Amino acid sequence: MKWWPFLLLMALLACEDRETPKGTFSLPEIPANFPIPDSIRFLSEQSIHQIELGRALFFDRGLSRDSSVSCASCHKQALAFGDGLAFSIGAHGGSGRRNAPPLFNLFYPQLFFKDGGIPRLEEVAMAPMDDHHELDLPLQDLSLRLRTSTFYVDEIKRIYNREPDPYSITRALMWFQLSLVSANSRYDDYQYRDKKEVLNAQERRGLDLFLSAHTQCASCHSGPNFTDFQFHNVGLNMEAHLDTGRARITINPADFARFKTPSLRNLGFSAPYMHDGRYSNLEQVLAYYNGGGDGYPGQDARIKPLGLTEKELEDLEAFLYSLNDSVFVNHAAYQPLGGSQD
Amino acid sequence: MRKLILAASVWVMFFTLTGCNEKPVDPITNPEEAPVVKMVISHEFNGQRINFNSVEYATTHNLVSFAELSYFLTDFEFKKADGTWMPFAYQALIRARQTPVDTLVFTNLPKGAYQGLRFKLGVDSVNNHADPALWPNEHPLSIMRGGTMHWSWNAGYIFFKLEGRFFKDAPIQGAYSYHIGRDDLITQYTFEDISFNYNDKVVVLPMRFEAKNFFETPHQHMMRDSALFSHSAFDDEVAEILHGNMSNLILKD
Repeated sequence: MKWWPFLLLMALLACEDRETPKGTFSLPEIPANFPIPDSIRFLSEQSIHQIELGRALFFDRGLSRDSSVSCASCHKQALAFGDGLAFSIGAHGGSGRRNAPPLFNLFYPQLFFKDGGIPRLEEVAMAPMDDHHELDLPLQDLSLRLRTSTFYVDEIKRIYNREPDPYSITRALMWFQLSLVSANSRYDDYQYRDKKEVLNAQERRGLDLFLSAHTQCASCHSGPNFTDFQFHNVGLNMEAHLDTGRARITINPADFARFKTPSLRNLGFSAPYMHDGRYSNLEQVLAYYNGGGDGYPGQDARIKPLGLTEKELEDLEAFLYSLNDSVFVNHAAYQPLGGSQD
Repeated sequence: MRKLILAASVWVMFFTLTGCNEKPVDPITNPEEAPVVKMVISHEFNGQRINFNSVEYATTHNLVSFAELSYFLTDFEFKKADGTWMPFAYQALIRARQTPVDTLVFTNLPKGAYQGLRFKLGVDSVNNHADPALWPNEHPLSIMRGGTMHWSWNAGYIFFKLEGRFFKDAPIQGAYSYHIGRDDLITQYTFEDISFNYNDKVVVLPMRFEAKNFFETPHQHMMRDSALFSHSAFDDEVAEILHGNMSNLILKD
């Protein structure tokens, strides 16, 4: 049976022409002293065009080999652009090998991915494109596919004065990801808008615990994004699902099972947790750290039994939920042009 | 006053930059008359041109066939008569399946006598980890040309890719896939027994890619479950062992 005409038709339909963006993108409100580059806070017209093109690409299922999934299939706005599954489902029904990370505040300098294998945000989208278990449509193939779409050809010509190619696609997707600003949690009101009353007594007790020398949470979950962007081995037992972590990239045995510290923002939306999504709720994560970890070889020495009471754990959890940003997960400009989520 | 200082700075920069612009040693004024150096690489197994997919070739331990053979050659340098090495900006993506006999053409060398050539199989560290989308689409290192030769999970190129099937005492058979990359797995080739005069119209440097050496020299590779593929990742002994055989792949014919 000849199936290629059907696949070609699917590909063309997936990249169907659509209405040209009208320059409607706007960021959520950002507190005046929230640390963010001026190039993001004050978006230029050119940046907005790139963001809107990136948004079109992000929600387009034509970015996958069989046109079954888009970036947004595994990075859902309602889940802070994370996935509710331990391992996402990709093209052909394939399964990813690490928990899809939520996406926000990607403008801070860092290495990307849990093992830090990607040095630039521009290149982040290439990995799921190449991965047979994710989009399975490498950039060169995607470039050729987009050249059959009047919409993409015209937009990319208008914005970059070139035809769809790796440069234009990666830049547009980078700009859309850069635009994902989460700065409107109640903690942000407390910290950056000086509204000290927004955190209740329990949340403030939790904040004190979080910052305390006893828990040392903030020694890794530091800074405005609640991460030091460094790589640590938190001692998770790997027998069921071996992952070499940072060592995969550096080839250094000392980096075995080290993963990048995740941000704690929007935790309430982005379950399950840990690099393999092994914990489905925050209580389990807190219980893990309170118990001192699994003790797997190389566990960070700072992780030791804490002896927190049930009430203290509840306080800590309450504070962590204050990092949820409801504005971010509902911001209309982060939705596809037609308004419907993938 | 500030405008005056700015104008003076611009003039100083202009003269500094133009002053550093070295004149070519021996400019070639008419490209049509310019000599060229052609490095011709024939891809063979035990001296016979590789026939992809349809032929099985005998290594010491297996029968193998080839489905894909691609690699990068970069960092070319020519040895001048005074013994110094002259860098020559050139990168090549060789796809042997598509082009079993590939010809790399070097033009605009300064005229004169040369007595050696060296290059690397792989991509130097800086270019290896640079943003691949920044290359012009026609460039060998561009994703548009060499996309399947780039790892997106660790932001680097696959220096060398060899894939195919192996057969030995059926049913012990299957597929193999060797992807060699990483900064420490780059391979230097040096040929000091080459001499030519670039005043000649055309200089041909015949080379042979001997695939048998990948499986044989010096390590005799045997297909086993643990040695059928390599992605040059952590704890990948296969990549390191086979990299030891890669310095014998390209031979002067």
